[in-house]
This record gives sequence, structure tokens and C-alpha cells, in this order.
Amino acid sequence: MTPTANITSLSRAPLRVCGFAVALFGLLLAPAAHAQESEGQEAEGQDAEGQGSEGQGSEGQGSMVVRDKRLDAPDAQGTSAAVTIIQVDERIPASWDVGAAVDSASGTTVTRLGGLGDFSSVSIRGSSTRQVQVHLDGIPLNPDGSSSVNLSELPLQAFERVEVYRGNAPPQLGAAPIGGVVNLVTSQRPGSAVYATGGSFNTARMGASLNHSALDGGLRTLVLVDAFHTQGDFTFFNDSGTRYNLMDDAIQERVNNDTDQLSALMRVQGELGPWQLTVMDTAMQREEGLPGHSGSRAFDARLEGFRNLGAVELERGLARGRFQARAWHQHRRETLLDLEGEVGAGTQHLSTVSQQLGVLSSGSWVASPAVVASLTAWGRWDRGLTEDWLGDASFPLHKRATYGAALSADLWLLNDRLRLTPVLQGGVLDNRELGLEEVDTPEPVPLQPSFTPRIGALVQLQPNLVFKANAGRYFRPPDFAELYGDRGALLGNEALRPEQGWQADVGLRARSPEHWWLQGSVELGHFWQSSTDLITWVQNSQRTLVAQNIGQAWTQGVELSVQGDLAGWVDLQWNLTRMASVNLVPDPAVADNQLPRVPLWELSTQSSVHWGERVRVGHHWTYVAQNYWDSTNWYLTPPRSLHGVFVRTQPFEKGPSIEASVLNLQNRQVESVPRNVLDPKDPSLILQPLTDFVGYPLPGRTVLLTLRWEA
Amino acid sequence: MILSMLALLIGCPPSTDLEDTADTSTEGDADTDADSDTDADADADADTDTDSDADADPHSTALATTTNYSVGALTSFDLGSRQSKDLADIASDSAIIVAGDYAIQLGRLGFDYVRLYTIGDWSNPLEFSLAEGANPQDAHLCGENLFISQYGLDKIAIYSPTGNPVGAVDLSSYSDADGAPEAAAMVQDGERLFVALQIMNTEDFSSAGPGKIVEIDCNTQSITQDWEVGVNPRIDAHPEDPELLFVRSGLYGSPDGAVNILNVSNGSQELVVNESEVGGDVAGLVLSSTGAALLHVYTPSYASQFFCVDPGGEGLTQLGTDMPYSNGPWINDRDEAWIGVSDDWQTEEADGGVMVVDVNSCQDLTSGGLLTSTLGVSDIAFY
Repeated sequence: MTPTANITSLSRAPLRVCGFAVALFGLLLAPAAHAQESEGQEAEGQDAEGQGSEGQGSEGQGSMVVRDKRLDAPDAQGTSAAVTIIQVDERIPASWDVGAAVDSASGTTVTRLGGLGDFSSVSIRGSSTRQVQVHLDGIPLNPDGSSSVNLSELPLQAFERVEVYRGNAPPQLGAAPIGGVVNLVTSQRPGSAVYATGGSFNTARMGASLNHSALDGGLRTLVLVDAFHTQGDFTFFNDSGTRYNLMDDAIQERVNNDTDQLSALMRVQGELGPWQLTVMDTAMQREEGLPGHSGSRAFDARLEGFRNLGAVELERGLARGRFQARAWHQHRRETLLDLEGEVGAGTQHLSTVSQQLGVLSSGSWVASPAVVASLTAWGRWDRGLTEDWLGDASFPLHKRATYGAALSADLWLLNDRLRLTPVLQGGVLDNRELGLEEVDTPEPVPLQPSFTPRIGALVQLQPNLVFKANAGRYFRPPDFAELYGDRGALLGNEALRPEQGWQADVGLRARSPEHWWLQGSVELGHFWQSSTDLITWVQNSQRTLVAQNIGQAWTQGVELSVQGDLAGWVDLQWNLTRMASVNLVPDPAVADNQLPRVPLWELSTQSSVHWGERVRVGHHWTYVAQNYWDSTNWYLTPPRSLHGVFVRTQPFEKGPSIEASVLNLQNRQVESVPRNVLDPKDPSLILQPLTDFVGYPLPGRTVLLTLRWEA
Repeated sequence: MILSMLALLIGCPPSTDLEDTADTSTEGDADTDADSDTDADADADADTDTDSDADADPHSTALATTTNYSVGALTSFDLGSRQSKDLADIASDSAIIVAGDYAIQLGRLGFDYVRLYTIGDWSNPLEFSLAEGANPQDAHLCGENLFISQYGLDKIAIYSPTGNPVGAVDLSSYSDADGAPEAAAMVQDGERLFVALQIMNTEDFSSAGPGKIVEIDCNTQSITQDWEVGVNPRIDAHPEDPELLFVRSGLYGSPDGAVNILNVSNGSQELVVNESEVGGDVAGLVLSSTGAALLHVYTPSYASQFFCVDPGGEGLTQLGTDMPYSNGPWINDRDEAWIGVSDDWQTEEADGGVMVVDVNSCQDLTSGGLLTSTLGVSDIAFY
């Protein structure tokens, strides 16, 4: 084993998801190493989920090595982590949003409160949506699960790929969420594009992007502007909340469901001597109606939001390693205007401002030919303030600091056939300046430590067959709302303990030999996760909920993922997940029940046939088996099968393209369910609208037309 | 002060048979508000009492709305075996009223519907929806029609027994700045209804002015008189005298209110007890046929306390120790007070259930274990 060989192996590691871990190693090493890396990368370009890297080879060799490494998606074959990489390219329809892309990954469930532009969030392997962290280029948008990220706020066009880590995530992310991590990676593909989409429900999206390289690759700029509008006025079936009265059933139009959103992203990367500097800023302004529960519609409630995320990152190679440092600031403001008291308890005009300042640094050191050690440390300062613009209610300023570190290593053993990745990760929540509400609850723990060790193992069984295993401990501290509850119906509990969980998975992954006409991979895995101290909202009195630690549950399942490229004509990515879950809460109403929204089977397929890129015809299908939407397991949602298609033509390699796509092709809007779930002798069935979340219907057939010009 | 309260309570001629009292009042028992809320939310206390008549059979069943605030059920408890059975799925925020052969279930905030079950047939109710935002609180069959108080609107809805809207009682002259006077509990006496208007600022559930009690003539569907009372009033029927109403006032979460008796024949009000004297919100009050009473006090530290008041006026006796948040009490014709006890969310130690108390002897009849149901009880009526 030589250091070069080690570095080559390391370059395959998905632990470099931040995009930086490996690149500088290559830069530091001998030209021979460069050559080997390039070869290895060439192969990986083919194998990384079967979706080749883009934009390689257009720059000088020195910078190409660096930049190409940044371009590389994590190699699912070279890491123990259970990761799915969704490339945002011609294989997916332009009508997709981030939620649709994430939903196509294995083990994910995206919950939508409506159609395009409406709130959507993701859970992984049966987790809650707060147990999934969403990162943008490695920067946490909801650190420690501070809230569920609204995926519809993020323009998919800004990203080159979506990485979905189920369970064990790279320590360089500074995260240990119970569910997993979704990392959105901004585009590195050179070129420019303008696009415009229009279609059903007065939906329109338009935008432009420029990814420009200057100074011989020494200065790279990405600018993207994306504007989105939808009226969201789709029709839905409304039973008026009366299950026994069919006379008042009606097809109604969703009202006050419009969304306007403007997003912008700018990223500049350049070389400063041995350093690579990245400056990024992304801003989003959004204004939307809150349509409310379909049985109690809101006609005037509005939500306005603004988010700005600025980040600076420096990285450089060292003699036997590399160093990276990053700082970011996120500012988010949300203003809820509900003067009629339509969506909450009482009239509200609340403004909530949250800010987050974070720093993270990471260094790797090639300690020996078989050992690469890494140390990642981070600090984060969160603050949140709610102002009541209507009344005289006052809310204290909440502040919390988080410090953590992860010591990890990549160990190659047994002639490189075994790679172990142990991670010792810990942190401290500094609650000393939380800001207390005037409620009679116990004091919070001033300094809350956490310890989240984990380990991954990758065994090379055959040249194209690997065995993976991961095990670890994960946690999520309570967020400000759970600690304080700033809305009338929610009471915080300052004595909450963090949610904690254990997770383990094993799997086999095989990829096709390079000379096969079928290029692709098959991955089969089994996972198990157990959570304790789950934070749930429990009634304290009529319509008042208090957060408390009572939840316990386990979930296990089998994941099968197939992706491939058949003779250059057919692209496919299919994911099948089978899950079982048990609620361990002793309450007899829910004890031993299946967890809500955890279906037994979940299937997602994405297939397309293409002739070059002149014509591409695609189909996507999601199937979700019946599942309960309530913890008592009374309400069973029937199986759901939704199809979508798209056809695109692009006469030339660059230039214009036109695409027509259809979501919910069969126009499914209702499903039939028992009328009285507590009376098995009542055979009557009734219709209810198709929803992910009761009261928030999903749209029927959605047709969109997209024009795009690439240069 | 407690003695004065006792004197007033005992001053009521003790009833030996509640059914006898139904000759003058269709309120069969002196049960209290359906939810003894202590939070500042949009749900007013609803008087979800049993409208029994003089010929009603003895109570055999407690009909409860149960909930975990995600889902809800209509659940029956057999008074003999104490066993529960879930009958139908209902809105998670519901109230229940028994009126003769019917059970009226109200889907409240955000649900806004009414189901009229014929007792014993739980799969084929008459059902109709109310206006969006209605938030129904209480319902009574009065005259030929069903009168429904709506917390979110400025009118009492009137529906025929077949579910058709036939009119409304305009309350707009009582509305505060939020556009509604927050009509909540109702008490029926023959063909007149007394309605508590809470006059709350629904932005923060502070008081928007003194509460009102209005009297409605069910035949003319109009208001005949009104009285000003304390803030945020909740009303209960007097077991003996239909001219008297128990009025509980005061904001939730602070012992600033009182229990008064309103004489609707002359408008006089007499203080029974101040909340400051009992150390919390008076969340519920029931009287037995012998004049004994059970008082529910909700303390500022989120505990429920129950006090027995004996007919002899000797004083208050706390029943057991402080309990987690509880609903009720509701009383049946056996002089049993039923109390919905929640899980102890603060210590995670106690399981919830239904406590049954003999009001006359102040004995916990479920000391061996609370009655259980799939979900927690939020409201009870008896038939």
C-alpha cells in the first residue's frame, strides 16, 4: 500500500460531501498521484450512482484536479454510508421541485400540504421531519432539527445534485440527526441558461443562471435568479367535514393558496495563493396565502418570509492533509398575518426573526498509509425573537449556543479490503442565555452535553461488490418552539431532554463492470433505528398542547435501490423500501401501533428513454402502500399510486429545448375510506380528498410546459 | 366566605330526586361545563348537560367524547360494569349533549358540524355542517328546533330536527371588536334559553368587557332580556329553581373570578365564592340530589383540586391530593360525579382515566383504579 493508493481510495469517499475533503490531497501529491486520481475519477464518473460527473476536463490540469474533485458526487460504492445521489440534470423533468427530487430517493417520504409551491418536508426511514437536517453546500439550514425545512423554498435549478444520507452522515457536516441528512450541492457545471415554465393553476417559474469561469479557472462565478408564482387554485373534493352527510359534498377551488417567491444565489470561488476562497450568498423572499384546513378554510391569512444565508469558506492543502474553515450567517424572518383568527387560536400578527451564526473547521491528516485522521469542530449561536404586532404580548429573546467536535478516521485494513470509519462526536448545548418564559416549569439544563459516536465499515467482497455496515447514536435537542411555545395553543416545556436514537444498517452494493452494456448498480440494505425521549405535543387542556418527552419507537426496513443506464438509451432509478415500525409508548391507545405515515411499502421509479438529448421521454411513479395517519391506527390511508410523464426535445447540443410534463397523470383526487372506523359492522365507504396531511388536499393533474435555452 | 358559599348552596332546597325537578326545568342534572378549560384558547366552556324529562329512565350509560387531540371518539361507559366502548369516530374537539332520545355531538373549533344520533344507533346520525368558523359550543332542542351557540359567530344558529337551517338569533349588538360576543354555554328552561356571552378578545383571550347572559324565547327566536355579569361567564343550571343560574366568571389561569347566583326573575346576583378564596379557577361545580356539592379548582400551577362541600355546611374537604389536569365533573342521577383525569404530563407517572366520586359521601368509587377508555375523556353526558 502506498500513500498514493490511499489517497486514491480516499478520493472515492463520500465523506467529502462538503466537496472539499479529497480535492486538496490530490493537489498536494506527486504528479503520479494526480494521474491516478484522474483515472480513478474517470471510473467514478461512471459509477457514482451511474450518473457521470459533469464538466470535467475543460480546465488546466492542475485546477482540473482540484475542481473536478469538488464536482464529484460521493461514491456510493466507496463509502459505508447509505447514500443516494440525485443528479439534477436532463434525466429529471423540469417540473420537479426539490421535494420531488428528494422523494425519488430510497427511504424518503415527502409530505406536501398542497401542490407546487406549498409547504413540503421530508422524513427519512420513518423519522419525523425534524429529525432530518437539510444542508446547502454543507451549511445546515435547520441545525439540530430546529424546524422542518420547507423544501419548496429551494429552487431545484440552483443545484447540481441532491445527496440523501440515510442515517450515518459525514462528520464534516457537523450533524448527527436521527433520520439523516439531505445535502443540496450548488451547481458547478459551466454554462448559462434561461428557462420559463407555465401551466396549471396559474403556475409560472422563470429564471436564469450563469456559471462562468475566468482567469483560467481561477475565478468561478455562479449566479442564479429564480422567480416562482402559483395561484394554487386547484379543485378538490370537500365533504364539508360531514362524513355522514353526502348532500353537502362538493368540488371546491382551493382559495388563498397563492405563492410568490423570488430566490437568488451567488457564489464566487477563486484561488488566493494556496487557498481556495468561496463566498456565497443566497436570499429568498416569499409571500403566500395560508389556505388552512379544507374543512375550515382561511381566506385572508398570509405568511411572508425572508431568508438570507451568507457564507465564506477557505480551504487549502497541507503537506499531509488539508484544512478547511467556513463561517456562515443565516437570517430568517417570518411574519404571520391572521387578523381574522383563521389559522390559529385568536387573531395574530406575529413576526419571528431567527438568526444563526456558525463556524466550522475541518482538517485531515494522513497519519500513515493506512490511516487518515480528521478533526471537525464547530460552533453555532442561535437566537430567536417573536414580536406581537397586534397586542401587548411580549416574548423574551431566546439565545442558545452549540459547540461540537468530531474526531474521525479512515482506516484501511486487510489489504484495503476493509475500510473502517469510526467517529467520536460530541457537543454541548449552552442554554444559559435561553431567555425564560414566565411559566412554572423546571429550569433547563444549563449545559447539555451530547455524545454521538458512530462507526461505518466497508468491505470489498469482489471488485464490484461491497458490504456496508453502520451503527451509531444520534440526537436532536428541543427547538425554541418546543422549549417555549410562543403561540397561544402551544406551551413549551423548558425541561425537555433531547431526542436520542440508535441506528444501524447493513447492505450489499454491486455495480456493473465497466465493459457491460448495462451500467448501473444494485443496493440492498436493512436498517434498524430506535428512538427514545421523542418530543411530542401532548394535550395539557382543551386545545392547549405541551411538549414533552414521551415517545419511544423503533423502525426497521429493507431498502432496494436499482439504477442504471441501458446501452445509452434508457436511464432508470428505482427505489423500493419496506418498513415496519412499532410505537413503544405505553399509552394503550397507541402502544405497539404502527407509527403514523410509515407505510409498509414505498416505491419510487424514475425512467426515461432518450435518443441522445434530442428527444427524451420519461416516466416517474410513486407507490405508497396503505398507512395510518394517526398514532391510534384508526385512520388507514389507502394505497396510493401516482404517475407522471414528460417529453422533451432539444434539437441541438446547446440552445433551446421544450418540455411538456404532467404530474398526477391519472388525476387522482379522492380515495375511499370506511365511514365509521370504529364500527366494523358498518360497511359504508366514503370519499375523502387525497392528502398527505389531513385537511390539506393535493392537486389533481398538473400540466406544465417549459422552455429552456442553454448556452 | 366559604361559609357563605355553603349557606347559599345549602339554601337551595335539597332535591331527593332530580327527575322531580324536571317538571320545572328540562335541565335534568346540575352538571357543569363540558370543558373546564384553564387555557386561553378559542374553546369556551360548553354546557353540555343532559336534557332529561320527567319520565326519563334512570341513567344507565355515560356517553363521552374522548380524544387525544389528534383523533376523537364517541365512547360509552356502562354505569354498572364501568366498561367502555368506542362507538364512532368523531372530531377530536367535541362536545356531547343528551336530549331525550337523542345525543347531540358538536364538532367544535375547525370542525364546525353537528351530529344528531338516535341513542343506540351510532352509525346513522343526522349530520350537517355549520358556517366556517362557527365553533359550536352547546346545543339544545328547544321548542321545535335545535339551537346552537357558536363561539366564532354573532348569532345563535337554529336548525330544524331534519338539519335544515330555519333561522338565527342575532347577537351582533353584543359583539366586541372581534365581531362576535363568544356565545358559549346555554341553559334551558322550558321554551326559553339562557346563553352566556363571554365577550372575549380572541386575539389573546383577554376580556373585552363584562360578560352577558341573554334570555332567548325559543318560539319567537328573539332575545327577551339580558344581564351583565362578571368577565368570561360560564353558566350552570340550578337543580331546583329555574329562575336561578350559577354563573362562574373570571379569566383562565388567574384566580380573579367568582361564582355567583343570578336570579333571572329580578336580576339580582349573590356571591357564592371568590376564586381567590379557593386559590384558583373554579373550573366546575356539581350538586347532588341531597345538596352536597363537588367543586373543581384549577390552580395556577396546572393542578386540579376537587373539594367536597357537604350538605351540612361544615366546610370544604379536598378529595385526595392535587391531580393532573382534569375535566369535569359531570353528575348523574346516582349522585356520582365523573371526572376525566389526564395523564400526568409533568411527571409522566400517572395514567389517565375516569374517576367516579360519590358526591354525598365524598368517596372515590374508583380508588382501585380509574375507569379506562382508549382516549381521554373530554365531555360526558348521561342517559
